[in-house]
Amino acid sequence: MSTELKLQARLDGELDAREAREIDALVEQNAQQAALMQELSWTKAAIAAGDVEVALPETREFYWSKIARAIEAEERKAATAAPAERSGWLKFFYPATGLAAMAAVMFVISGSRSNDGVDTESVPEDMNAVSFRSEAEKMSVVYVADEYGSFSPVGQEVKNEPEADK
Amino acid sequence: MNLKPTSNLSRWQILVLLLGLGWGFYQCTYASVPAETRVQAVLVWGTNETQPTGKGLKELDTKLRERLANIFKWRNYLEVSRNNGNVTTSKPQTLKLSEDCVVEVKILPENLAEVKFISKGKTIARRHPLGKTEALVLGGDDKNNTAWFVVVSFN
Amino acid sequence: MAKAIDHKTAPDVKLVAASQAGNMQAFEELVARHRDKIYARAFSMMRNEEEAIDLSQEAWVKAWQRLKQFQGDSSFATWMTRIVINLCLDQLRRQKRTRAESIEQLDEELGGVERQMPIIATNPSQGLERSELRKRIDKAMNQLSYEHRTVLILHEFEEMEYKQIAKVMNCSIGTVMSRLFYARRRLASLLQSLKKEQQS
Repeated sequence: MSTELKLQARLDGELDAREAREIDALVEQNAQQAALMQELSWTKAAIAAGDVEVALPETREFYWSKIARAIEAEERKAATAAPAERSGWLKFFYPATGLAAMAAVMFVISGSRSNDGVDTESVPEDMNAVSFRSEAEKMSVVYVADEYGSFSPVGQEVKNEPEADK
Repeated sequence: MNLKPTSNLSRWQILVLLLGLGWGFYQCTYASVPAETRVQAVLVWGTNETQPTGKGLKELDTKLRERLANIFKWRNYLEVSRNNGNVTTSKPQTLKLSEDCVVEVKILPENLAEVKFISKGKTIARRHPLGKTEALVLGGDDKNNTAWFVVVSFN
Repeated sequence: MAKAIDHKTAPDVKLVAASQAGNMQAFEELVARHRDKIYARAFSMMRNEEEAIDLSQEAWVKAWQRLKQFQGDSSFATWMTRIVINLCLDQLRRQKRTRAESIEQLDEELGGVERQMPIIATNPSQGLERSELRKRIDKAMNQLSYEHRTVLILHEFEEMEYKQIAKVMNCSIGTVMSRLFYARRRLASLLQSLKKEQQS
């Protein structure tokens, strides 16, 4: 390890006691190394005051709705991928799981009938949408993630975009 | 005075009466559909530009702008267009908001509205309860870190 | 029967335990409590609002999936921060592969350039208000490559030791030390330039 890196390690408390004493002695004798040590400690102290302080620019509901949707999607994906990973002994339970699945499907159908589709939206398959409610603003929101803006109803002339951006 | 029912028949009569009243109350409060509902749709563009110069953009009314700004992150919200009309159970309403975009509103039983948002040949549909005084906002990303919103409100 | 908890007032450990048992409302409260910190860390690494939002959300999804692995060895916030840091590093590595290196970055990789920088003789942050210092540090950090910025973030803000940084960044301790050394020297020089700009 070079002397410069040892100076830094001393500053960061990463040297053992013997090495630390050696570096301290070196700094006392060598003005150049002492100046470098000084610069490193100034910088370390300055950075300590400088962590970014930014707040998330999205509301709690909007931010959470996207997370909740992603979790649901991942869980659905995992549920469909699971059969391939099942071990052989599980096949003995297939008749029972089949009955349970039928019961679950019936439960879901009856549940969805009573809900009648309120607060759920249907979106084209190639689109990703999240929905949430803002109690404070009394708004139900369906938001489409579409970074290319291909679904946008706002015309180019309104956005004042050059033709090349289309 | 003894108010206790004196026979089984009168107990049944009270029960039927109460059930009838309950059902009537439910119909009035939750299941009734007003004869005619006014629907309004506003197309809004959200941007971080402070003074966009696009054609036909208007200042959005302060109240709506604040509501959107409290939910979304864009700094500026501008009205692109607005349209309104009446909708009844027998007459759906189509509101045109731009060349590519219309909002179709249909009243369903149980005080629900079906709102279809059609843009560039693609459709998003959503059922919205009319009993609440909530607005329905359909929105999405647009190019250059901007966004669009269609705010549908009923009264 | 499990006792219902008041999500708003429950400590993190209780919310974590409830989340581990599948309670999504408890997890939502954890997200609400720590979302700014997690986003800020992603932003400090990515320097891009959109990417920081996406990666912080991805971190929360990953956290939900791995909640069972959380044993409470560190605080929940620290555990979450590690997840978002790893995701940011993966993303930065992917971006680096598709981006041409600047001459300066190549210099940094070759090493030695930091030894040629003159030593700063006066404290470049002396007399600065905290807010002004923060602004300048932020500006200077923006000019560092992601490897140098990350090593500083992990060491100074996340208080990680060299060996922990080496593990997270998938490099040797020697590389961590030289990156840290370069990053500090470059930062000192940038702060000095900003000070001179202000004075002239």
